[in-house]
Amino acid sequence: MAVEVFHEAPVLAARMRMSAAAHHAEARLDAAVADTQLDDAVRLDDESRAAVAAMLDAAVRHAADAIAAGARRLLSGNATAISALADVSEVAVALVGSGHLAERELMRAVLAEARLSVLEPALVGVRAPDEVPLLLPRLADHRDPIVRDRATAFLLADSRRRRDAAHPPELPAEVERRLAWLVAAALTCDAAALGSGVEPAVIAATRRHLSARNEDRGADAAAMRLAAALDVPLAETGTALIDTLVEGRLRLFAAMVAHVTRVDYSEALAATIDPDAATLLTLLRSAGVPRDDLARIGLRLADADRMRDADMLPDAVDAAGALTVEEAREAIAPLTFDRDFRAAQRIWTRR
Amino acid sequence: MSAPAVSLSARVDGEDRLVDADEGFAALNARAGGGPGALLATPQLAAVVRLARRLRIPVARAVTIADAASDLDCWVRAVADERGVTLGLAVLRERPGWREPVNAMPPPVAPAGAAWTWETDGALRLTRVMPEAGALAGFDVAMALGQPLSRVFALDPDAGGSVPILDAMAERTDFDAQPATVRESQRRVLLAGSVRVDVAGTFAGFVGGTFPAPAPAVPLAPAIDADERFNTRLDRALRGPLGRIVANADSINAGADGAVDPHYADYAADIASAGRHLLGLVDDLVDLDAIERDDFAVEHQTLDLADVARRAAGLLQVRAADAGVRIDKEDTDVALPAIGEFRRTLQIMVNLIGNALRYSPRGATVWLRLQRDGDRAVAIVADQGKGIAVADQARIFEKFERVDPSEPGGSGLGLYIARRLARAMGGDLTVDSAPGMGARFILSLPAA
Repeated sequence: MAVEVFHEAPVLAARMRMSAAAHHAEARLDAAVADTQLDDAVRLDDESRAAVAAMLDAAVRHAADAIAAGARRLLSGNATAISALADVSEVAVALVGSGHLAERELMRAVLAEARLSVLEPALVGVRAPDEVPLLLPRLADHRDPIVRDRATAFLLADSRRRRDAAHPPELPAEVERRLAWLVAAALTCDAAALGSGVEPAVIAATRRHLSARNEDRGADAAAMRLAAALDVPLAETGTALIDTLVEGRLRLFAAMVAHVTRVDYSEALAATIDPDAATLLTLLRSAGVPRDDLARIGLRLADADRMRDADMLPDAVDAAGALTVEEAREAIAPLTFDRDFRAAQRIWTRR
Repeated sequence: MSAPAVSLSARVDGEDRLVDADEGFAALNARAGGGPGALLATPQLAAVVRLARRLRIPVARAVTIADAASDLDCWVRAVADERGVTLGLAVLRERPGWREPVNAMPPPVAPAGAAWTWETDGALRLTRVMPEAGALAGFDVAMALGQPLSRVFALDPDAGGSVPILDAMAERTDFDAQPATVRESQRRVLLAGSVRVDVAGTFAGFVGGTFPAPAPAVPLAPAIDADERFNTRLDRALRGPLGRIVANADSINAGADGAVDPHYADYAADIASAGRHLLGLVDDLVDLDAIERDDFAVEHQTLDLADVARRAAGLLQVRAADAGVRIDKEDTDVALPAIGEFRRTLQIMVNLIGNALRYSPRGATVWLRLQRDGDRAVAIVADQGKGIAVADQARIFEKFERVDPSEPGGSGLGLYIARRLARAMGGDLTVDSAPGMGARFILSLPAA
């Protein structure tokens, strides 16, 4: 039997601190190594990274606030149980730092929101000095009352989205559901041992929170309804799309692309915010958008987006512009497949 | 644009080599180390030219060119054709080289602490409004989007007489403390905004916030219809509770629930009496509310003024007995046809006889006299009280005025209401009195 050495308490504490520091140093080194391996083309720019962090935090906080408040109401009078609920701020910090949120679909949704929040103001910022946005007044005073109503609904929903930086992102139902249950588990992590009745209350509050969500009120749904009502003639699609870019309304841009190409909105949005314009340009080409409009759209996005390289654009425009409409349609056919099938395909091709 | 822009132009061939340039462009290019027949020396300009040639669409963008110790913020436009590219360059601004280029400016942020935020474009049309604004400020957000800011807010000058938002627009600066009124709700607010400028430094809108305005020093005059609603609410809110207070006080005073200390019985009587006074006041206020309305109307029916006077005296007989005053109503035996509304006329007579009883000493008499005077039917209520000085005779018909404010009872509304009613029926109510000689109140109505 080895002789056990009992360190004095201060020494032990110092060793523990050093050990923690060494652990962090290794982690930092791992991150630095991983970073050097990253291609510049895929690395997020600082602004997008900050936006992603803020959105993720907002998503967790929003769910945690709602669920904790609901649970507290259900537990009213039971002070012991309420005190067993984990603190919302701690839950947010713990969850974001835990790695449990590094889920591809959640990150995909959050990244999309973050990119929109960076790109939309940037599009407004690169307007030419004499360029006047005309889309908004035209839609708000449209002669067709359906267009007018839906334009107003979209403007309202879009305003709601852009309320503030800490506003929670719109997440797909499935992603939102998983996030809510993760938050629920984190809220009860201290309470389980106490058997205080916290868990059933949190579960009920989570169910309620999830059933209260209303996808129809979202900006995405409103943009799709507006695009359907507008039903822009094919010949005017290019101009109409450029108008949405001048306004900095990328959701409406994506909705119009989805409407005219018959692909799912989420696919159109993903193509819109993708720094690599290949997919978007092919989609637009399949709708018969002429080459010069492809160039105008691509250039405007490139000028607004730090993650894009404008020098790569002419080749992408020429490649897409050289396709006949039929060829482009055939090329985008996989994007029109069932959404869940597409998601499964992505998983499969990543293996 | 802030200053007259300096315009430079140049032309490059199909291989991006400079073939022609005006004097300014040639100098700029030379300072950067370039020359005729060579590629453009400024990398940003070369990039724009290359992009225009390859995309085959006009390319326009803001670029910042380092020129000696200065940075030039420029708006560049490149148009390609088959043989080359034409380049136009507008120098928007020249500034020391150490400052951040304009196109790297962060987007403006809404003022901190605002109750709700909004954004406009360069034409001050609302492009975004926080949806909560509707509830917070009382207007329809859906109708406001896309409309000019001034459709939602009436902009007021500030204390110095200037309109901060307009100054800020002209000078492309942020502003705060812009007084405004939300048109739909008439709510007063203060606006603040951060300016948004485009790449050329031109005004492109505000990202703004709305703050509640401090309460104005001079309150607005209350609206008349608010007053009416107040009286209606007063009636509803007070009549029930007062009725219960009076009833309970009466039953305590009467010892209905068992004997009470005589002191407490007296207190209860006082409470009941005060309650009745307040009830009377509520009645008067409701009447006042009615007769002061523009659409107030009385019925014009034939009535017997003598009959009305007799009934009024009958209603007050108990009070007269309590006060030890006799009511002489011999005159009321002969009918005196008149035109008016029975209920309102009765109300006037009760008021007049009630006043007479109140001011009559014990043992005195109140006379009711009825007579025809030309086309008028006249009822006179005369008392032996202390009389009303000539100076006071007009005053007693004013609202809330009484002959002697120290006297208990009465709201000071009775005679005001009575005269208004008499006049509404085409008649009048006057007084004839001298100090120490008692008073005569004369009600005249059109004779039937």
